[in-house]
Amino acid sequence: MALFLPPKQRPFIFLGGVLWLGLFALLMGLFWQPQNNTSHVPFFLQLGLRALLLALGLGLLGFVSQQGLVWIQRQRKRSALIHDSVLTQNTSPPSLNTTPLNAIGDQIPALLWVFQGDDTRALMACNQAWCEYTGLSQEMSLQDGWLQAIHPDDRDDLLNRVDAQNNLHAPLSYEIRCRNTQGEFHYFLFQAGPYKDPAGCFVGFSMVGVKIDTQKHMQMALAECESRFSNLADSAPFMVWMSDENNTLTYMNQAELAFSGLSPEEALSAEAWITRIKPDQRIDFLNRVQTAMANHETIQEEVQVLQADQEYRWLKMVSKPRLDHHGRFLGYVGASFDIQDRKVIEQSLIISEERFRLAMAHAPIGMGILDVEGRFFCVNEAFTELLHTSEEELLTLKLWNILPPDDQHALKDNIQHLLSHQAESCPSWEGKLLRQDGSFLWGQNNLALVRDQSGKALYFLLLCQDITQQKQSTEALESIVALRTQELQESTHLLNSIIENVPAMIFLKDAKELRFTLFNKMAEQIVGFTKEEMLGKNDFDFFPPEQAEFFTQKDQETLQSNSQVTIQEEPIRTKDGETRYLKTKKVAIVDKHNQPSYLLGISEDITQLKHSQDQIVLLNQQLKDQVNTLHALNKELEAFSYSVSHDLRAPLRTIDGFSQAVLTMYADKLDERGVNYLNRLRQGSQQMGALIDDLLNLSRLSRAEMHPEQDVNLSEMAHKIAEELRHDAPDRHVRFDIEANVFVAGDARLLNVVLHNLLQNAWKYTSSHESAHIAFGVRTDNADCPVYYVQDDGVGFDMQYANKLFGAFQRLHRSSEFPGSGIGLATVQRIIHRHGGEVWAEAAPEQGATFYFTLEPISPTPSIDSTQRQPEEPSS
Amino acid sequence: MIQTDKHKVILLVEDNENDEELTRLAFEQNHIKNELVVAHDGVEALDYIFAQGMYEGRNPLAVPQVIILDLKLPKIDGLEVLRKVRENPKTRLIPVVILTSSKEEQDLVEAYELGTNAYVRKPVDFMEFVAAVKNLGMFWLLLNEAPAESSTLVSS
Repeated sequence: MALFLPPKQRPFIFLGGVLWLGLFALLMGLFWQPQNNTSHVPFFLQLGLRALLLALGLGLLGFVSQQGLVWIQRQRKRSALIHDSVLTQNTSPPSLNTTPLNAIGDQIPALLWVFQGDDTRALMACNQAWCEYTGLSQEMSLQDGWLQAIHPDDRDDLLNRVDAQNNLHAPLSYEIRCRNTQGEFHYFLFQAGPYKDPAGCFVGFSMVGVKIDTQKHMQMALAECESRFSNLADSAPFMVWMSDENNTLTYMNQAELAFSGLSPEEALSAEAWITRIKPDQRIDFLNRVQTAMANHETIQEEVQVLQADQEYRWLKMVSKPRLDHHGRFLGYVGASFDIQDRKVIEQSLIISEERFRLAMAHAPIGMGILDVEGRFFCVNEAFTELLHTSEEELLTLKLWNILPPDDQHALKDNIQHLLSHQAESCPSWEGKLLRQDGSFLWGQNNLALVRDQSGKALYFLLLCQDITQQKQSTEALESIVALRTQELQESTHLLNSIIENVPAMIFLKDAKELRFTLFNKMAEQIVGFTKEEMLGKNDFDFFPPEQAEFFTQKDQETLQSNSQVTIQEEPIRTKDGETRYLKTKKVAIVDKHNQPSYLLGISEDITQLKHSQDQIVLLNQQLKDQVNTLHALNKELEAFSYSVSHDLRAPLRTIDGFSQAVLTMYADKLDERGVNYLNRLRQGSQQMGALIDDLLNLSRLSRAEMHPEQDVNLSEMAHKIAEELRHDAPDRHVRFDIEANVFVAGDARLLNVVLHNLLQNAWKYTSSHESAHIAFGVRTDNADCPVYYVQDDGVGFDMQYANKLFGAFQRLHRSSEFPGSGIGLATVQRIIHRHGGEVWAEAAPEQGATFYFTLEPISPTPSIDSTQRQPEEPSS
Repeated sequence: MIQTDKHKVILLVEDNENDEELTRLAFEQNHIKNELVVAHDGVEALDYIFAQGMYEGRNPLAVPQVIILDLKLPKIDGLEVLRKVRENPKTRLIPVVILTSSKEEQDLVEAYELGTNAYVRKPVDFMEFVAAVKNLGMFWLLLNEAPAESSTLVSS
């Protein structure tokens, strides 16, 4: 820009630029807060300071060059005068009168040249300062001698400029390096101006050179700085921008342009910038920024901005107000950093932290985070519940406070291993966790160490699952097991005692080699060998080969079939050489895989039995024969009875019938004796008829089927019989004493026969007495069963003949005394016996008789008793 | 005097001649005048009843007024005779009185099951026997009218 300004203003514009740069550098130095590299601060400060120095130097140069120009104007006027005079003096080439020039020029501290205004490039004059500086005399310098003090690189340029000056006649300034007496080159700024004669005719020009060595260096440094800044700003990986005091954007670096994808002109438009902010953040962002800007505050924002590829990215923007040294606001300078990646990481970190927090809060197991010293700094609710405490209290505790001493020691070692990288993780342990109230819980505990990426230990994670219930049930289980074990031992002992003492031979053999592993006491007794002899050996060690082979074969059969095998009879030779017979059951005892592990044998010594059996077979045969005989006899008896019933009575009837017919029809032909004899015939046949009837009765009662009933009322029966007896002989004085409610179980009809016979006997054998006493009753003083009796006070009998009482046709009295067939008591006995009872009598002559009988109960069980009770059926 | 229909025959089945005679005597003493036909075994009895065998040609419609039947009989016993009489519709209504020495309950039960009208045991005492026969005659010959069917058969 400076190039388009008039040459006189150029130094000032340049000076302003340098001042600007200096200020900017200072600002940058002051406000720039890089995060990583702090070395930029001195660089910008340095740059700022240098720029200020340069500005000062240039200011000085401007002043001096003004003065030099004034001097040159004068020289020109003088030269013009000289020239004019020369011209007026004609033909002599115009030349400078150096005398007045020397006087003035020598007072100027700057170098002074005057060139002839033609193409000779000839130096017309130079001042004392030049001569002193270069060590060249006036003479040496004039014409083209001066060139030797000019830096060779600048010579052509300078000569070109001199030529240009000759043509333009306009002021020019050059920077030229001139050599001093020491041979060192220094920069000089030469200011050239046209030199005209008084007529205003161009005759040449003058050049004043001010040493600008320092300024030049500063300028170069500044240029370098500017270039560096520009490079730096453009190559910065972040975006840089600037605005002026009206907050109009004035600068954006390459990164900013690249980000937006806009041209510099477009990018500097505020609208373009604003529209790129993500809509949902735009208004808030602008509000904040505008508020900050209004107050000239530092702005720090994170906002999503549209990138060139139409993707929003998070930017962090830092803007500082720029102030001059008076504190006046100059605008903002800002930088933006792409923090998209950081944001993404941050977001995922937030999510993962939230996940972890939720997991921990809702975990059903206790979780605690402890620092490396073992102090809790974060616990979940489950953990506080497990420990019956609050989070506040728990956070005051260390891990050691909730562990029993033993676990502490073990864990401390483990933790040391963890911390010293000797172990990857701490083994989980089952242990008590102590509560502050003195109680405890059983936990399944895990402790893990969390490290950062560099491997530095960060914290411990403690996981604790409550297993108190499991532990308690395990303990309960163990006590049950102990109890069961004891019971098992007891029952084993019991079983052993039983096995030892059971009256049967018991042995056990292992299934593989059939060697005895158990041999009880009875086995010892039967076989004769002792337990000590038998155990560990097999059958072949004791018994003859054929027996041992038989035993072994049966053993194997049992084991293979896995069932019970019974050997009805097997001979075995005992230690004494005697042969005994065993009945043996063999059973395979299987293991849990159903494989036979043992063979159990139980043997019974049937030697005696076997001997007895032959006897029994023989006896049985005899018995069978006898039974057959008895059957035949019974049949015969039945036939006999039947035939008696029919046939025996027929002749009697004939005798009686025809005797009666004779008596009736031929009475007139019979004398008294004949009648008597015929009557005897009839009497005899009738007696025999009665006898036959009694016999048949007896036989029938013996064979008749029993119809047992419950609750047969004997008392009632006795009363009826007594009534009948009284009815038949109303004259007799007999007192009956009949016990009431005598109930028995039995065949009512047969029992009636018994009572009838006994009472009739009592009636009969008291008939010789004027008065009599007959009693019926029951005695229950005998514990076994009730004893019934019929007692009279009649003639009685001599106990010496008591054995004859119950025999058929046995009589103790003459028929003339007491009529009877001698069948009655036989019948009574038969009936009592059929009831399973007994009958007997006690008597003495003339002291009465007592007949006793028992009835074995029919022994019904109570339930049958009620269901089988039959209604009393009167037999027809 | 017992008034009976003298045309009606009494069939006495009895193998014992003494008993036969005594029965006749008892009938006589009781003044029972009906014709007494005596069969001496079961076969003879059936021959008479069904007009077969030795009684072939007899009018089969003239059935006896009453059959007095002993049980223990040669050839065919009394119970078998009773069964046959009761099986045949023509004879099943004839009154049958068992008169026997047997006192066996088994015989008694069987006789009633086969449909006997009375069961009388022959007593040894002849006087008792006469009394029993008198009762029999009173009931079966005099008081007990035969059913109409039987009368019709008889009258024709």
